[in-house]
Amino acid sequence: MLRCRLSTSGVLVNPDVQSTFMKLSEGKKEFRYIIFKIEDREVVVESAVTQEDLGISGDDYEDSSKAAFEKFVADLKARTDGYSDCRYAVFDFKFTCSRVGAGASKMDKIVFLQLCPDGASIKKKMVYASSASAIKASLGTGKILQFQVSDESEMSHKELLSKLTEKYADN
Amino acid sequence: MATDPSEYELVRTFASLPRTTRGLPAAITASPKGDKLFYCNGHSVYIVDVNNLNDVDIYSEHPTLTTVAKMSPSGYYCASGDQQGNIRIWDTTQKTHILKGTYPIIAGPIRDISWSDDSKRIAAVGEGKDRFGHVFLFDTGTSNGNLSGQSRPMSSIDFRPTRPYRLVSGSEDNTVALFEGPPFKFKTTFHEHTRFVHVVKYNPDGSMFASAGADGKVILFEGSDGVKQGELVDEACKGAAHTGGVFGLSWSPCGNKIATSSGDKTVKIWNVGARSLERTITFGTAVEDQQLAIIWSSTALVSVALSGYLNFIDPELGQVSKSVHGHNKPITSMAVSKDKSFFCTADFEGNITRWNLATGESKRLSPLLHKAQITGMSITSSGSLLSVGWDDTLQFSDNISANIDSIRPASTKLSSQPLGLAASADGSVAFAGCLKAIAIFNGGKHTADHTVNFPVTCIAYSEQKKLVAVGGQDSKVHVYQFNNAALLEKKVLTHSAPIVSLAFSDGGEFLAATDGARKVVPYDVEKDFAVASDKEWTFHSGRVTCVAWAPGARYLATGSIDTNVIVWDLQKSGEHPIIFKGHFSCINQIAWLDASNLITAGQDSVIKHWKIKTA
Repeated sequence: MLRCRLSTSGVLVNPDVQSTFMKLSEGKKEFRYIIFKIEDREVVVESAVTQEDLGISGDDYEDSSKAAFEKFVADLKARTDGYSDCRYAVFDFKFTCSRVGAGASKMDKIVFLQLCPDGASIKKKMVYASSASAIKASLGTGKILQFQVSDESEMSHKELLSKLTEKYADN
Repeated sequence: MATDPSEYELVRTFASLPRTTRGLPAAITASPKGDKLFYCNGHSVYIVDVNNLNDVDIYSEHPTLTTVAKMSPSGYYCASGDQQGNIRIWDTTQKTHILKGTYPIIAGPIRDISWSDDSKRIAAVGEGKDRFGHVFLFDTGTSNGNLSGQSRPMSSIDFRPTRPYRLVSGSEDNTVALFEGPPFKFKTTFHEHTRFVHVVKYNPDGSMFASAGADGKVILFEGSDGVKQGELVDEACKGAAHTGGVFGLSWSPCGNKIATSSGDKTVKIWNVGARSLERTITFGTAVEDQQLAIIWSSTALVSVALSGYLNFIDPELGQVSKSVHGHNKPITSMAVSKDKSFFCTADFEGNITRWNLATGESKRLSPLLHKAQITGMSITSSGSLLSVGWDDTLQFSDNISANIDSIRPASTKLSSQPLGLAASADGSVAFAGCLKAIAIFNGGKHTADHTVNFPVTCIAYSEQKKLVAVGGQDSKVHVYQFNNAALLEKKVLTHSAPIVSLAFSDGGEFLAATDGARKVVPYDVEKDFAVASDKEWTFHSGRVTCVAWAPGARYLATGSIDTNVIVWDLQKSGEHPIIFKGHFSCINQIAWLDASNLITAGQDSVIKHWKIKTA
């Protein structure tokens, strides 16, 4: 009963997925975002981008990662050939939000995006949807936020930021 | 309310067998010295002495089903996990088992636990929802790393016993993962298996680890970075170690050998250095003969079958030296032989085990007599067994004191479901209390059915007085006179709740009846069934499930769902009886061996032998 909850697509998760993710989530937090794809029935790292690679000079907390996120979305768009393919991605979202009694506080949250655009083939969407639990389980979903997005509007910076502030504003 | 402990004494315990689930590895572990086995059934952890299997300690503090227990390498603490993902750490050195800590680990059953060599860290894995494992410091519960990296439930975990520490885990995503630390971090995974990985184990010096899985393969890895070093292959098994899934793997204490247990109903002993098969021990051909766990301690090599049997294997000869055939399901029926040399117990699934009282040796009757719950048994003076079960039959099995490997019972179909059995000492007269009738057997033949208009719950027979007492759901005890052919109603005794059990004293002088309203009532047969006690016997706090008279008709023992055993004295019937906690769950059966020795069997599948201080 518990078992059918998980991926049954037979897609494996490459060990690099977990070790690259650790470089984003722990220690020096080397990476800002990572894009994963399914290749030859295996989830692999497609690209891992550092703060330097992004080349952003401004403070991430001030603009709530807007500049970095725009670059991430542009990269994702280019890699999926204008949203005609699916991807998984994790993004280290740095933002400022005001909390009752605590004033403005700087926050740092990792978001997991499952991108399944309408333009992608049905087969691809099926494979990505059925393998999502496998990659999420191996990343350890306890501390990350998950979003499923299917078009550019859902991936807008404002949309995500409002979801995050909604979640963290009052606790 | 408990009685002075000097009034009773636990002589020995016949422990339950480990719980098993088909297709999942079972959990059996050993103490670091190798003298104790740890396994789980019900809400309890059993600690059994390898050299004296009746020296049993039971830890029953888990609120839910226990899954795995492991002793720390220091030998002081035990960590046990349960179905809800909690781990309790408790002291093993004292009988009271003081709790050191309890930690919620995952949101699902714990499958495996491992202690680090310094007894400071514990890693536990299982079927969680958001994570499948956790590693923490045992005294504070502080996290000591992160075990994410595998995408399906992890079924096995092991610490490298030497520094630098490593953790290896096997998962249902077919991978083996390696973690480095402390604090433990994911290093890599190995995709050597093509199906679930059931077990991973380091060798005693940490130089190698082995993994085994449902694909029948056993793979050896280097201990610190996990380079594959080889595979154990049996030529007869098409490139694998076993033809079925490998559920258990254990290194020998010297580290030169590996024992594996498999769903192909074999245990194999391998030489690691030569990568060669040394011994194959084949068990039967039934599904119950699948071997789900194995442990090789310094004193014994023990394999656990799906039936729950503990098979002690002599690794030199490659033979089973002894087997323990108890129960791992609730015991529903018990009968003691007339010469008190052995007794039989039957469980919820219809398995009957014969126990030798002097040696504690146990042996299962085969084939299965009733393929359903057994509700009544009786052993005759000639050593035959009469049994009734929910397959609606009464069976006579001859001479069960001798060889019981191929029993050929004489079976008689009953008209409705039997709920109890009463027989004369030689078995020539027997009564099966069925739901709608009492089936009368004379000389082994079904001679008559006495139809009743109340649902029968239990039955008792006094050979001397030729009286049959039948308890009913109608809260009445119906007493009949037996005229060697039919039953004639003699007396009806009314209780306030359904009758649960009945017993006549040896000479038929007294009849005891227990009911669902906590009452135990002794009736004096000679005085037209007048109540024989001065005061009401209402010391139990729940349904009184079983009753037995000691020889001499003075003492009466009862067991109840309140887990207590009470020994009543008819000559001091107004005084406080002897009350003690018998089992950790409902007591289902009770019987006297002589005027002071008592055996009880419980819902927890355990049988206990008590010595009562009687006059």
